[in-house]
Amino acid sequence: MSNPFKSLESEKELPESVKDQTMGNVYAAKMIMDIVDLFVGKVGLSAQKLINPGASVHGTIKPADSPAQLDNGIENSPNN
Amino acid sequence: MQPTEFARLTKNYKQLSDESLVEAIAQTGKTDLFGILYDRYSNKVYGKCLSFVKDEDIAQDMVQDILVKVFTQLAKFQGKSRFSTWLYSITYNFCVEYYRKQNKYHMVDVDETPEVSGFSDDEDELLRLRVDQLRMALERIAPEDKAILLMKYQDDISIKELMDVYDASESAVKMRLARARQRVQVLVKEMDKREEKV
Repeated sequence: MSNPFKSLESEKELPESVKDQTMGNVYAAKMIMDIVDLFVGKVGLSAQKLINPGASVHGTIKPADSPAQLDNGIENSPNN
Repeated sequence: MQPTEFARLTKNYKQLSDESLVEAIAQTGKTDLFGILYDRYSNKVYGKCLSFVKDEDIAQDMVQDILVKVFTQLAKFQGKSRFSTWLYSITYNFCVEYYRKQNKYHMVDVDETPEVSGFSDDEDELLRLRVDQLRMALERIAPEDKAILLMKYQDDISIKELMDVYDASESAVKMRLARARQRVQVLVKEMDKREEKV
């Protein structure tokens, strides 16, 4: 028994120009994805800094500004 | 990398399976490799778009949109089913959505179509239909029904793969298929009756 669904398959071929256009769009999409990745990466880094201010990207530890240090700063300001 | 070197590498990549090629694109970041998948499937995708829209220019635009979408979603391909199954499911979803948008004032929702109980659901009977009968029926049924029938009987996608595509149980997939088959048979019988009257 021949399958009538198979006979319905189109045998038309795409013009060559469609490949150029599609691949052009693919390159553009890739570029946007890379930019987004870069941006998301930076936002992620900033978020990490906000959550854990003591941690540094390069592995060195920066002393966190403790409330005590901030209080000292206020006490020692020229206005006081 | 020199162009000749890239051509040599591309030639090697052409021997890879679809799934390995997707992996290679993810690992190397070489966008050009997607061109190999384009060569393998673009005409197939075009044919499927033409079965939903008659205008060749629109179908060509749809192919571009679908393949760019496929590229941007390559990371989501998990290899649970064949790459072709995954690609076709994206293609049919796109076509169904497009068809719905274009015909939103004329379409009846699939769930609102009348029950077709009383009609036998015979797969052999469906496959015995004449090509012109099947073509006319597929043009009239809901695009969702058309999509599942084309996946099963034109693309030879197994029930197991359809379960992944629809994220549904085996019985749910079989029920959808049965309903789609019955709707085709109801339409064909109606068309036959009209022809008899004329």
